[in-house]
Amino acid sequence: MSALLEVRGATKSFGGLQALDDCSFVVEEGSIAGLIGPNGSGKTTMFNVITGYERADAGSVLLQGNAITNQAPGRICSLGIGRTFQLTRVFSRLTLMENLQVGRAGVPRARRQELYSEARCLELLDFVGLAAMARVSAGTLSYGQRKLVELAMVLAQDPRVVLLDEPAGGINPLLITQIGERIRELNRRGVTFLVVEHNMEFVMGLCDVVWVMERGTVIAHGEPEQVRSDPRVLDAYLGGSLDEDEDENENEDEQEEAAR
Amino acid sequence: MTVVLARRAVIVLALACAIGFPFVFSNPATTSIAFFTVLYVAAASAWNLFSGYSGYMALGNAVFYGSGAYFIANVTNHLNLSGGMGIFAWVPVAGLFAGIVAIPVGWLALRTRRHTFVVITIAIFFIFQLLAYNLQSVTNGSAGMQLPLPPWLAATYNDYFYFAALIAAVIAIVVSWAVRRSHFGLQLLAIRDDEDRARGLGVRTGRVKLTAFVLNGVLTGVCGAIYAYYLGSVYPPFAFEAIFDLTVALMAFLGGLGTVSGPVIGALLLEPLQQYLTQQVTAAGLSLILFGALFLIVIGFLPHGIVPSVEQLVRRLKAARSR
Repeated sequence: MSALLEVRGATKSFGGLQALDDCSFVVEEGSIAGLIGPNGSGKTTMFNVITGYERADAGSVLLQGNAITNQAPGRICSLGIGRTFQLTRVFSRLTLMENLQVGRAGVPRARRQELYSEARCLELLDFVGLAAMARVSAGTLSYGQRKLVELAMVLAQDPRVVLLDEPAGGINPLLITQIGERIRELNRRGVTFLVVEHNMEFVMGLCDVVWVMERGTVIAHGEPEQVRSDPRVLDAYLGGSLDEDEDENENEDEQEEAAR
Repeated sequence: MTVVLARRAVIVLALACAIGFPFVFSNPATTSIAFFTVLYVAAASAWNLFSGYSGYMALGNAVFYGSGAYFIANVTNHLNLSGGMGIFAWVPVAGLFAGIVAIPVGWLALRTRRHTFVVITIAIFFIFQLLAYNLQSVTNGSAGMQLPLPPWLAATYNDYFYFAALIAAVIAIVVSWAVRRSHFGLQLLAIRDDEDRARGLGVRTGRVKLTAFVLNGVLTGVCGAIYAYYLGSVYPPFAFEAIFDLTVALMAFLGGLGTVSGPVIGALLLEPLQQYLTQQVTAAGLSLILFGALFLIVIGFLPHGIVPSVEQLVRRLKAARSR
């Protein structure tokens, strides 16, 4: 396997806050890589830097060895890097079909007609199980459904690597399973993934390799099993075990307090 | 299928009514109202083509209206043209001129978004109005400019302008419709919903917005040129009229922002009302106060406009029936 996407020493600060601090990692072609870390560790900022939504202060982003650092989001997209957002960003007053067809304007007409044909978009909507709602405006969908639409929107661009920002966050378990299956299916077809996610069960079950971030830099990486038992990682998560859901911990604490 | 046929029948019928109107109601007082109504159908459609589709609320469209008006006044004066049908040939050129004016205006204003954009367009509008008062060599200042008088009889005078405005309106509607169905239109609507996301998907937002803005400028300039010829004179407060800025927006709001038929319906309802009020309520400014009150009522009670509200109602009735 060779590196498809590589980040070298990315650094970014917002005023006094060091969001990324000399952060480096590699996503191998054809893999599903996970990017985990506590809240505020810089995962979304990393995504924004890769996809051109934020400018890096220093460091570089490489796609197959070519520097693509700080290019405009549209340009990054046309290079084959697609992304979804933590808080979904669909075009709420457009239909699902139209959402998929917005696409890039820079592509040649023939290619555009192929990419954004009704048939292909319908196929993609069918892939995420929403073909029946092709003519419904996206604003009427549930949060989980919007996540699926976002995935389909990204796939409509025919990307080589897809960055998913919390694909399983805030949606019901049945949809989480469905999203996981879809990601694996696409991966078999050759799409590379980089996934930010808090749902440990989901990440550990899905990813080939996991990178762990804390305070803007990578502190560990390896196969899910390795990472799971890495003391540095456990420490980063405030000594908590990764197997237990954070929310559950909070609930238990509350119950204990209530019992007292 | 039946829906498509019904829609086509409505369009043909509406066009037939529009063409036959001045022959049936030939009273000049009526055809004058009809002329303004059709002119505002064109102007409101033009405004909607940019602001309705992109979500950028431009309140300075009179810049292009006035530019078109002053352009045709200058051309007819400098070329010593005499009144007649020939003047209408300059109307599209006036539109192109207004489109050229729209390029730097749009380039500047579209660097901002939302409320700032609204304020900037208003500011640019006032700059143009001031220029019209002060650029004596081009506008003749507050003394105004005269256009050649057409040799038409008073009884049918309005009809020529009515049909000129009707052609402009049909073109504006067809362009709006074509844009709405095109990939370009889809990109505009995407900008309205989430501009940064659209940019991230490769939409060249700056270019798309400016193109729509210039299209709006061309169509509005055409309206301004027809208006100037109709009046026979151009004065700064009539060419660069603040009420025009608001009227076209109100019409699109009332009918339904971002729909093709919305601004048409809005103009058909509001312009006759405004003209009627101006004719009936002669007390200075009272018609404007009534008009302003109407704006508040529309924004307050019908924020989505007539067309989307009716569509929603139909959908709800259908859903209730299928249950």
